[in-house]
Amino acid sequence: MKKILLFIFLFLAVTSYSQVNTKLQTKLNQQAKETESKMIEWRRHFHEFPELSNREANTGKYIADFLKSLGLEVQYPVAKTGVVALLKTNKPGPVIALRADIDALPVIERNSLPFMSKVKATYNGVETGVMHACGHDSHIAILMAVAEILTKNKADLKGTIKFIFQPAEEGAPAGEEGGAALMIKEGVLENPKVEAIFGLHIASMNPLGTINYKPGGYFAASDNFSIKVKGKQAHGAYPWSSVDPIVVSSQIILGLQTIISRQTELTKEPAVITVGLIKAGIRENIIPEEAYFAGTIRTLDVAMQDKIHEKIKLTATRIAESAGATAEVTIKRFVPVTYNDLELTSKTVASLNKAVGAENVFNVHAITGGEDFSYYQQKTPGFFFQVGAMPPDTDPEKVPSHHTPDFFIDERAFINGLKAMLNITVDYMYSPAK
Amino acid sequence: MTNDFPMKRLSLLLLNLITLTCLGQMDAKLQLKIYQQAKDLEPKLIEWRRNFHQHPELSNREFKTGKLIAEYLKSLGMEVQYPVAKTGVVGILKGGKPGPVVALRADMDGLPVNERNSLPFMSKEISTLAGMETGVMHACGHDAHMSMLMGVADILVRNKSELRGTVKFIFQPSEEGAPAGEEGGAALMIKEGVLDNPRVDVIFGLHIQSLLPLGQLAYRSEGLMASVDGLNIKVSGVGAHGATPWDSVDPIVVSGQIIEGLQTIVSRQTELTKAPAVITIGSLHGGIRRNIIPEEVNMEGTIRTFDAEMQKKVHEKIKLTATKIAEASGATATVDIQIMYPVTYNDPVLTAKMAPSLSKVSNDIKITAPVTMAEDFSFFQQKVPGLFIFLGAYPADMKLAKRPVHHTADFMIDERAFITGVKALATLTLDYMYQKQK
Repeated sequence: MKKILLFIFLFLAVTSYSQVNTKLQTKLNQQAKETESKMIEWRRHFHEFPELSNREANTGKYIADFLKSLGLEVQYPVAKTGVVALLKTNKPGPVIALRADIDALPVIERNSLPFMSKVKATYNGVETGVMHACGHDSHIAILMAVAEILTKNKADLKGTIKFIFQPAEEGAPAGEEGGAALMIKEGVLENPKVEAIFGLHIASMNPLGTINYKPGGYFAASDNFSIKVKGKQAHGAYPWSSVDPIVVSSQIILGLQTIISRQTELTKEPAVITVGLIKAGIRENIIPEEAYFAGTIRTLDVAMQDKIHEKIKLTATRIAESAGATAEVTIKRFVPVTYNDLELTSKTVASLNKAVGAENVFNVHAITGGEDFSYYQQKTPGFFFQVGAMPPDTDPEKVPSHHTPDFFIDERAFINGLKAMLNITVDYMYSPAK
Repeated sequence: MTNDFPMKRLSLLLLNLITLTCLGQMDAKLQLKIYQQAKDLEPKLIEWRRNFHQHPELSNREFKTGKLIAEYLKSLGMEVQYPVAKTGVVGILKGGKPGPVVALRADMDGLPVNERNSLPFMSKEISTLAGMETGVMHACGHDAHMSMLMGVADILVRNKSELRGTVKFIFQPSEEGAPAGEEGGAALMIKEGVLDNPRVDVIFGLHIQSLLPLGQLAYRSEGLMASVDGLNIKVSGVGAHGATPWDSVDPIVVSGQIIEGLQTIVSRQTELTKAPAVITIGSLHGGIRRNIIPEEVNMEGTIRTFDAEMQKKVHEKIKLTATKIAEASGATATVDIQIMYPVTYNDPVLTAKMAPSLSKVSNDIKITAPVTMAEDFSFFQQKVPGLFIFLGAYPADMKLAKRPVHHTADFMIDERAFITGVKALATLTLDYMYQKQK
């Protein structure tokens, strides 16, 4: 009896909401389809004229002009070359942020597309080609389309939508600030205060038509560590006169692996400690005074991340002491974990289902790469997802990965990203978390 | 060894002559006489040895062996102390002339090994060790040591008037180690005063070696045989199910890291040109079941060094390495080191002085590399200058199924080595007395 009542109540609740939304969403989906060719055109423009991180001058201006043409309230430049636009409905409701990143990479494009990039730039003092080799061009195009469609349907919406076009996701040049962290610093999450933020990434290795996500830690936190082992120098023939920092370093490197294998709760989340760089010595028969190695730590849980940092310090210093050496450990937090708020995720999955069909939405494993969308998620609940763009009949083993000259995406994926963003926004607007 | 160039030989002879005159040795006539007597004694040496071989007794249980030796020494008319250090025998022979006190030592105990060969005097003795029944065998040649020292006693008694000083014959039990909870061996003999009344000036001893060529005398100045220290490390962690290592502090993985770390003490932190060193973990016990991470792991090891200072350093480094590596994973390591046997250290001045005497006894002299086994003769050498030598007795003429390794069922020696051993001990004694006299 109780169950039946509950069911009826739920049914009523769902129908009353969905009646408003179904009508609106059908309209939005139709407009999405009509915008597809425009979206592809925009993307090809950005693809042909990519710009490196913190150097997205033309890109930013292009976006700002477009958003102004829609009649939105535009802030430009924000965080060097970024653009923020507000769509105010003048009806009470939540402030929802949608974010796209806008920078390209120092990669020389290798294909025969008519809109292939021929742009050159200087990176770290070296001349290089520039390529949208991570698909941020598509992110810009999709979010521009979202802005256009939502503006068109302003009368049916409530609350406020904040469009964030963020520079330097790939990392600012050495010595510069940039990316999500700088945007936050410049107040992008305030005035009005953002209640929830959404973002997407195109994925060249996921099948066209699919969307994937993961509740909780999705993309890993990425921290840099470096360890300097100080020993005592000696001739290589007299190790007993030395404190050998090379042998001690190798003991430490093995010890660090046991932090993962023995001391970390791997059923909760995976974790990675990689030593990617070792430097020691100058000549084969001199035991050097010190050895230096550096690596990256990938975690998906903040508490685990803190613990691993402590354990790295303990392992390195004590193993060094065991041989009479000392170890100086420096750990720099680089990118936080891209953490999909659990409650927000469970609400948002329904919107993804509407965009591409529940059978094409996948709850996937964590990814040990990093994404600076995570900075927003540290401040406000956020949800990040990936849109598959691998052409059908492609051998997944042979798909060029992101950040390579052969990176390729199927433009038919854009409409899925567009629909997903539209559905997420409207669904959240009418049923916010609070 | 015997393929020296004639020139080299000649110079060696000259050198011997010079040292002989400078340092003083017994005269050639006495030497000749003694060597003849040793030769004549050979059948008896073999007979004694075979008797001991057939009736071996375990450490601190050498009752019949000790009694036989005591009675024999008494029959030679010398002053005998018996029993000393449980089953040991000390014979004191005062020479006709004044001089130093020279001690000669032989060890007496057999081993819990089941002999495997077809010798007519093979041991059929059965005994009990630590509650287990076992065969007993003279598998380290101590039977030969006793027989040779009895032979030396016989000869020196006969030449008593030529002796300048006193000879102390020490027949020592339990060289292989006393049973658990008992005292024994050289340490106990010293405790019971074997080096006093009269006070010993110098001590000589030898060990038969089944793997060195017959008749070879091998020795080296300074560390000949290693010191032995016992090592126990207890690694305490936190137990957990094997499937959830993150709930544990895994003492097995930590032990693995410690064992590797210990090896770097030898490879990176020890001056190996000075002397070698060994750290061996011979026992490692942790856990009861494959899927339970245990709370603690216990490892046992042995430390071998040849230099007291190095020994001390290695001990310190072992403690540091184990405790810090354990701390690195949040575990603790408790290190316990037991000093067991000191280094068998041949006094360099004494060794240099006695080298010409050994060259008279055998023309196969080898300056050997250090041996990482130990010998409790070292306890005597801690108190008085001593020289310990190896006597080669490889049974080349015998058809052996297996290498005649010490402490194994297939241990075998060539009895023809005994004369050389008797000559060596008698020569060392007399030459030392004649040097001292000068």
